[in-house]
Amino acid sequence: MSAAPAFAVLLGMCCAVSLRGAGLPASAAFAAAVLAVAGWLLLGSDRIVPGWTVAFSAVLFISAAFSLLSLYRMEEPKAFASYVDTSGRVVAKRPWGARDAILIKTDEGSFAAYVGHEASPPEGSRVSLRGALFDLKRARGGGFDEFLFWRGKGASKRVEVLDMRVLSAPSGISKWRGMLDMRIKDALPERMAGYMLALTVGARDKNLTDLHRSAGTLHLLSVSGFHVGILALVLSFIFRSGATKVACISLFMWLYILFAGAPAGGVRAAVMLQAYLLGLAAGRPSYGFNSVGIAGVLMLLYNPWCFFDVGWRLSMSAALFLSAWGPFMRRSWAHAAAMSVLVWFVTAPQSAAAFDQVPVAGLLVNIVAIPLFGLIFPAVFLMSLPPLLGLPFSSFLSVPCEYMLELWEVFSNAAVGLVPWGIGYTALLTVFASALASASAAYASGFRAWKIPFAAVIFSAFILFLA
Amino acid sequence: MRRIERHYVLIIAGLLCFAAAAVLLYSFKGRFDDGSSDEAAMPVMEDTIDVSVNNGASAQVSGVSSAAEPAVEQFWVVYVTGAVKNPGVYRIPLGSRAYQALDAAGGFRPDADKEAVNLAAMLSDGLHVHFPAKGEALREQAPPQVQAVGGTASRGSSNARSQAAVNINTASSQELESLPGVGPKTAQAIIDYREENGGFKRVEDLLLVKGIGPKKYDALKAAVTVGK
Repeated sequence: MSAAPAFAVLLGMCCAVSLRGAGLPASAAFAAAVLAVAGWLLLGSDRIVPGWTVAFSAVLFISAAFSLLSLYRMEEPKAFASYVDTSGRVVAKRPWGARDAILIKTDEGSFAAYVGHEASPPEGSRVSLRGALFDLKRARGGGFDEFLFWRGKGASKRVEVLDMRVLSAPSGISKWRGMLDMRIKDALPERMAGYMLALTVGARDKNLTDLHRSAGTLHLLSVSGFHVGILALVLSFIFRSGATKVACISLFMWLYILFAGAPAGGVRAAVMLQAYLLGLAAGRPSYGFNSVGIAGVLMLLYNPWCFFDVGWRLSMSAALFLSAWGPFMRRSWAHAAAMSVLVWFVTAPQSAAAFDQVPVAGLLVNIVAIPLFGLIFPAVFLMSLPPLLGLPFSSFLSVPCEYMLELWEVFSNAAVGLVPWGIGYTALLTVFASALASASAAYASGFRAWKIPFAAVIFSAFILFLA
Repeated sequence: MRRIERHYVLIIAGLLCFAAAAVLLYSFKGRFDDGSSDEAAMPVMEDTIDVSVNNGASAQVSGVSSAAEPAVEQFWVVYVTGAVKNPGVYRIPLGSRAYQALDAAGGFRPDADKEAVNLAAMLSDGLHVHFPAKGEALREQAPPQVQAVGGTASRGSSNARSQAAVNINTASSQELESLPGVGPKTAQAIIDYREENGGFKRVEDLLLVKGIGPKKYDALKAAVTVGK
């Protein structure tokens, strides 16, 4: 309880939100969440020491209050007209099969729309919107759940567009994102452009996405803790002194996250790193596992529906697991490699549920890919700067970088050829993953070793019940 | 010895909490994902439902419906406003008519226009029933089909339009083909949609029919109704 109180709060919020999302009445979801947190805290406590009751009550109270707030926000009794004639801003845009999916934020709410490429307004532009509103579709018995996907991104309804016109061009950070996107596509060769787009503006090239998906390394293309960590590491070499270091890293980190389109995993990593940096500035280094918990709590408070965003869930579960075993990982490369394998198991059921299959090749490829891309990404970034700035002869610099990326492609394809299998969603994999994750959380929360199996069994049963 | 006892007390208390949570979850098992709870979680969508009867005097009723099928309840919930003694949200028995909603809201206020509303109009779950006061301007309804299906904005013209509009829930293929931009293929698509989905809940649902895009929808929306 004293080691990671934020995790206990996060646990309660996740229980409440997931049960409500599964269809349980809000009151029952709340009661189950409070009982689960109380059970977790009691099971994790060794004995009653002075101050235990106060700490127990405080953590339980905060968890209950935040769970209640999240449930309330999920229940917002908002009524929509069946028809809108309004204006708003395109806050997100992504390819969606043969069309584009856009998220439009208006005074009447945020709406998702699917439009053809030619009719799709640029991200950040202000548009007039006339259309009919429809409920987002729920998935019954598996498959893509449009409702949960778009609620996680803030949309309340789907709008069937009858008329949409651009009122003003993108401004602010969207304008800069658009300019960089175009410059990268114009100035860089194919592979470098693909990685730079993923690294900087969070856009995904189709060929690269296919390559990384088949190898189980798609997470490398999503701005998350890995990318934020590399940036913070580079900045920590540049800025040395205490307060300036914290301020500069924070500033650049948040600018980067905004530039990348504020993806769930990236925001989670930035909040976590911010908590760590503030602890450092205050002379109280924070515990990584608890910092991940704080990040999760803040994000759920901001938007409880983000729990259903697969990116957020994968990012949170991987970060919680890795931070739980942080000291163990730092012992040697072999320990770190073992963790890379185990984190694959922790995230595999969620990936399999979201993408139908998870490639087994990812088990092996990630052991090499993660340290390798820790070097490749900074190299691609540095080699891209001269061509992006339009310096003379800079295209020659791109050649070795492009070869390096091609080499990776060859290795990745060879690994997939050696291990071409994929695993679908199975109850056994889910039980193993949830047991592993809950045992790790119990270990990181300071449970005695003999109590850890209790936590693993109880939470595996809970996850199975929900599944 | 006492320390060991306390130690076990905490573990047992923890396990009891988990057991209580499990019992709670188990008691709801089977009721997950039945649509009823999802419905509560999802924001509701305003729509308009016709409760008019053919004699022309109709209650001014706008409804609130959600995409999911409503759960089987033992009562309906209606929102009663206007010249009634106690406006508000009320639970009324299944199969109620407008007079029962009026009774639930305490009856007419002295200034109510008692003939503006058809008290025999059939209600349904989630309706907004408005009883206007004498001289009160009748409400304009936003979606165009509302006037066509019997809102009280203008009794005479409303009825005239209602007769002219094609009810897409009941129209034959020939009737549908009389609509602007609708040929045999689109007419069949409309019929297929209503058979597969249990009918159109509102005119905007036409946009979900294959072959009907924004332009075609804009051209025919004023000429159709979803009826009762």
